Amino acid sequence: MNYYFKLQFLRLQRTLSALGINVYLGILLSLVIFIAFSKYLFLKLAFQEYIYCLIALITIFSLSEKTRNEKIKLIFSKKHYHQIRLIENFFLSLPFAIYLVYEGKYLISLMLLAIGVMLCLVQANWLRTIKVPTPFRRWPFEFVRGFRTAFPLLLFLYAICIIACNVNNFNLGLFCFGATFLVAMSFNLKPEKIYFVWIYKMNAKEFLLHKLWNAFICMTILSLPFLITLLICFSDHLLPIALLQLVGLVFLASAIFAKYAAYPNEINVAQGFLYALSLWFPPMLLIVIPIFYLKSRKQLKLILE
Amino acid sequence: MIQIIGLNKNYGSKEVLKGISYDFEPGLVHGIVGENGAGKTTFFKCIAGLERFDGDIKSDVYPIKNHLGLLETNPQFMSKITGWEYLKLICSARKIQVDNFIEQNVFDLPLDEYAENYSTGMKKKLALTGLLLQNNDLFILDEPFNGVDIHSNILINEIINKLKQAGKTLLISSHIFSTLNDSCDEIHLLKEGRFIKHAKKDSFDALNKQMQQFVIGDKLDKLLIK
Repeated sequence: MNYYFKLQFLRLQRTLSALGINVYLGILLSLVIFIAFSKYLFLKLAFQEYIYCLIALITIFSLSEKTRNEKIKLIFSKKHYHQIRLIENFFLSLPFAIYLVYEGKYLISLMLLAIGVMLCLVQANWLRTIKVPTPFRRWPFEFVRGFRTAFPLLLFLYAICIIACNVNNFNLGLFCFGATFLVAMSFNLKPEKIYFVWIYKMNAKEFLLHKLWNAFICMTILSLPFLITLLICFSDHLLPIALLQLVGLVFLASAIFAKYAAYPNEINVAQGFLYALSLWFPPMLLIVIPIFYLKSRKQLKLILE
Repeated sequence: MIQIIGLNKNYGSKEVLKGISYDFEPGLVHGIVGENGAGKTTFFKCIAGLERFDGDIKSDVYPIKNHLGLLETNPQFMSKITGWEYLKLICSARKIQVDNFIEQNVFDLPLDEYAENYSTGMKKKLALTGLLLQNNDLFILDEPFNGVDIHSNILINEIINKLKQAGKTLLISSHIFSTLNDSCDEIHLLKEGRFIKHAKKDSFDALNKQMQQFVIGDKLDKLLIK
């Protein structure tokens, strides 16, 4: 059992070193991002402790995925399987619980820890087989997959957007709208298997335009409920809403180009840094998009032409 | 016709394919047999353009990849994509409009379920259905009979025959000689990156015997089977 945890650490180490990051630095960085995210959530949201618990439980619940559990069961005895699940759930619940203690929510922290640990008894088969209906079936595959994976988060963002309308908080509504674009960008960042690019009867330029066009249609469908809600509730803020929609689509395009610029590998540290920089300072996109576009054409040419 | 001229492929210092030259006649079913690691999959990937190589591969259709259906040994599917959506992707990638996938579902696959949850055989059948929908001129089937049930084996054999009748060129690989006996017109034996034998239909038995002798040799004499 000790070797299992050593292997998990080794896997983490290998994933991080593939990205060019030292493992300890990676852990430190994750911790900083976690604390910053938690602090931001508690500063900005109403009912923050409940929303925080919901996020924590969704994260912990991902450990209950059936295939993963079956693999552990195959290798270890029943006793060791339960021990592993208990330890994993406890350690994943711990950072959330500690932060809740820091915020003075002692009872909720204790409850989260208890529920988190108890979730080790759950094995979620439905997570694997449940077929979430999606409006994107005509445009496989990034948005179909992404929507099915992230629909709880999208529902959550939409719920917050409605709350923002009720409490007349335009900034919160706009934040949810922007976050939807971030979620959609994440659909497009992970490279697909080379076979799924190879099958296209297109040259690199046509392929990129095809992907871009599909993404724009799907993104417009995805953002429509937010757009309508915000436009109804905050009709006097038309300009920032329209601007965010436009900038969001440009960011989405840059995500697609960034993915194929590194293809068939994952986005490397230098490209990731350039991309993060443009998220922080959007005018950078004017430089970043042409760079990524030219690089992605070059990468795709090797496979498609 | 696929013309292979001096095909070499190295992975670092390891030579996987060593100067293969051969003309695969059109409208025939070519079987490729060889042990694990002989280079069958690499050979197919080179033809498909999925691997870089030294040498040349020519064909009367250009580029080959746009007219080629490649069935991988273990077809992989994306998570959270149904069989139906996979077929839609495969067809749209080749700009082919298919209105009714149900009619084309010869293997009776549950197309509304996630493809990643299919069994090994079902995955292979789904990938093959996709290739048939694409209406390719060339087919490379890497271990098409592996992991599929007896009914589907019969069906796949029949599909191969129909493709041949339609004038398509097929390259099929297998570890097992007997699986290729019925469907192939020619069988090529690949060993350590080279074609060491070629046989037409009338000399399959002789090649099979040679292979058995070649593979088994005196190895079994060492076993003390009682």
